[in-house]
Amino acid sequence: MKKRIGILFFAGVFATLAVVAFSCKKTKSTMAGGGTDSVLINIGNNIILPAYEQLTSTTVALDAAITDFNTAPDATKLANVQTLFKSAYVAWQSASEYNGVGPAMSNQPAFSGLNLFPVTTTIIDSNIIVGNYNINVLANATAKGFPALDYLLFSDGGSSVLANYTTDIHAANRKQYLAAVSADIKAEVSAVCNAWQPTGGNYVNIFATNTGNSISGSLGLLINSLDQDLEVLKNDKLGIPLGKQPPGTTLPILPKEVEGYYSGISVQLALVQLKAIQSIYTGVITGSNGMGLDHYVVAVNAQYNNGPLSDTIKTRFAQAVIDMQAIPDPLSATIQSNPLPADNEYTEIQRLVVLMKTDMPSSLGILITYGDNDGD
Amino acid sequence: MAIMTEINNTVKPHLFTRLWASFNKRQHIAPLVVLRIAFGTIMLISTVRFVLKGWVYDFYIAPKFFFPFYGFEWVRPLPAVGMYLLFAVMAVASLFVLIGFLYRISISVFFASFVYVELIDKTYYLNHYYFVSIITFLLLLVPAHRYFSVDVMRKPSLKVTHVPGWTINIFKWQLVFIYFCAGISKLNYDWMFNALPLKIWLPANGDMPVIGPLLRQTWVAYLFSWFGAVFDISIGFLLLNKRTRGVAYIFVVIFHVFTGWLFKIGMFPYIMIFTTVIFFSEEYHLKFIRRLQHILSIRPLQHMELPISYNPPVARRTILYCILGLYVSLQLVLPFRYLLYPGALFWTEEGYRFSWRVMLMEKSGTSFFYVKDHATGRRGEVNNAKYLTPLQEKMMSTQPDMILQYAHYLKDVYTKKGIKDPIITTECYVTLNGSGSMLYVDSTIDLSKEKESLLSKKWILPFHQNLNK
Repeated sequence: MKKRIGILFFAGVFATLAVVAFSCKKTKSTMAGGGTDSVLINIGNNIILPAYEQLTSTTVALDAAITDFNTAPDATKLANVQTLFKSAYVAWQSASEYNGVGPAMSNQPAFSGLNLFPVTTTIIDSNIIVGNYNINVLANATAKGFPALDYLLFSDGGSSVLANYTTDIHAANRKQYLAAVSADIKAEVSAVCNAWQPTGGNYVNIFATNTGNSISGSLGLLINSLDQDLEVLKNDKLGIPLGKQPPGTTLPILPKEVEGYYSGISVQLALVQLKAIQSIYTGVITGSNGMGLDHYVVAVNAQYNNGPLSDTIKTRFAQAVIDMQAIPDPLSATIQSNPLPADNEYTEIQRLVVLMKTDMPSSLGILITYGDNDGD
Repeated sequence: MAIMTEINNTVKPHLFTRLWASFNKRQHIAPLVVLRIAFGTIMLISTVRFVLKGWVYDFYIAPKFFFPFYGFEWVRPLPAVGMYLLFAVMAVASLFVLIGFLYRISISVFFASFVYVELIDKTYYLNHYYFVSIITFLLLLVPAHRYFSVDVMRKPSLKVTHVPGWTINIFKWQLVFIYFCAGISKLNYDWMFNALPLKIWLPANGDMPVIGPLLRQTWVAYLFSWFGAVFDISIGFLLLNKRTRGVAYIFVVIFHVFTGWLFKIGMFPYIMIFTTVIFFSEEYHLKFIRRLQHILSIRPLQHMELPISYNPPVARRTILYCILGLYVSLQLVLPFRYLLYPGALFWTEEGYRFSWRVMLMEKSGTSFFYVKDHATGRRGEVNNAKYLTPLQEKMMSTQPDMILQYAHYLKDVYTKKGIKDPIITTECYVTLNGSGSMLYVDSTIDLSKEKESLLSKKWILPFHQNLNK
């Protein structure tokens, strides 16, 4: 009897250790490529990859146009650069959702730093005057990326934008700064895009095979990243300009803090971002209906207010798009003359934040947890 | 009838007599020694793992604000170097407990350090940390170092072979009570008849090899729920019974390893597997010690050993008995204090902690906090990420006492920023076991004026059960 119990105990301990070893191994093999998931395949291949490719091609085209513009600046070339800037900035809006996933995440804060607004124009101006800077140091964090281009390409500085690059005494330095900012964007974007490409780092495959419900699984990373992006939309793009931040010494409304203040395309940008988040949920991209996150939510039959949760989320997304379209650009002027539509949209996106941050992950059992959970 | 009673009395003594016997009767010290070794080992592993995971920094150094427990608001974390040193001290102390070196000091140091760390921030509260705290406390009261220890090697006069039953049985009682409480807390409608939250959690593991597809089946969630409830309620008693002990322990191992595999519950399964060895007989434990002695070739096998009994002086014994009495009463009452609060327990969480309620709910929330200036009437929304870590924000958003603590913190922050008597309100949405998010607390209440106490919080809104679950 004694012997038997002894054997049982050792068998128990051995089984424990074996299973521990097994489960550790299991996590690794899943990361490297165990099962795949059709939703993750669709999102990775048909939504994320095209978004990064679009961002790469637009930033490459922009950089080439800037090089050309810098050789002999004229009005036509400037207009071309401005147009290409807008398409690159729009392309960014469909890619920022994945800042917390894989290659972009391991390239932080540099990658998110490409769209840190509002821009600090005084830093840019003094960098141009001095002519000696490294735009990748912390002190220049708000003097680079798309917001810097927005300022450099659309702020006339009292005369005209073209004059800044031709007759201004700092024209040469300004051209140099413009090229440096653009080159930095191009390099950062191409590095992240390349890491996703099957021909490059092939993260798209890792993404599809990193299944499971943990915070480090693709779904956990994606949902977390989406939620953060949605909060950037709510807080940074609408909330702060609308004066939603707690009262302090600042003015009630901060029109200059909108995204794309100088080009005046804030609402256009926000709309693209919102639709990008919507498409990850619905799986719908340019007409074709693939599998999005809604596939999971429908599969578990999640409920909200006595109806399907997925229907509610879709309705709220659709409403948020309508409400966003009702805000006239430029946002900086709208929030001063008629803040109501922007205010409505802020509330609408807050509703979405609750659904996407609380209802959806909770119904899917996604562990947005960073330590241990409670055991049994 | 009279004869029957008499026979019963002779064969089976009165319950009270049996209890007293198990309390006072001398038993071999071996189970206690093995428990000391097992617990020291698992604590050493846990402490090292905690540090290696980077949690000392993430949990106790990085945050700007902490959520101390009620009555322990004065507990503050040490500076970074201090926190790391403290964890080093804990690792060394658990090693000393394991080998039985300077035992009383080591176990006291471990207890004090561990409890201190737990008291810093309730964000990280887990039942198994509470479990570690109380097992350490009980180890503090017993002479687990007076046999097969470095202390005895250094000072042979410390050696005892027999101890009063309570020093061993208190651990058994504690474990039986914990499993039993965990079991009866599962006897609620959602767990038993909706298989919630397992119906949400199991399919989330649907990608697992072999068993993945099974976990997506609804009946599996029901099976697990019912098995879990029956296991928790009965396992303590099955471990107590000599005849069922062996099989029961296999179940303990399988059950904990399996839940550890399915859910991200860290060290808990292994802590339970190591602690429940206390239920085995003294012969088994003695054999285990002999084998260890042999492996370590510390000294030749001693088959014949003169019995030496542990007899603390009467004064000390009286104090110990008083502490034990208080301790057991408190343990018996704490899990049921929720009965004093109105409302749905899982929703309000009033009286939820320290009650062995584990894995019972899938709860998640999002909260927006607003600061309003009395003077100007301007209201703004706080960016929670500025003050809280993601984990703190997540935990705060579903626990009313933490919501209140955060509101008070915001009051201080914005008072310092020059706003006199800021009004702090929150719009907080919580979903419980797939209910769909609902407003959690009264969004019109100025939380800066609410005081924390053990009384029920009137501003928690009632839970409306979803009708078509």
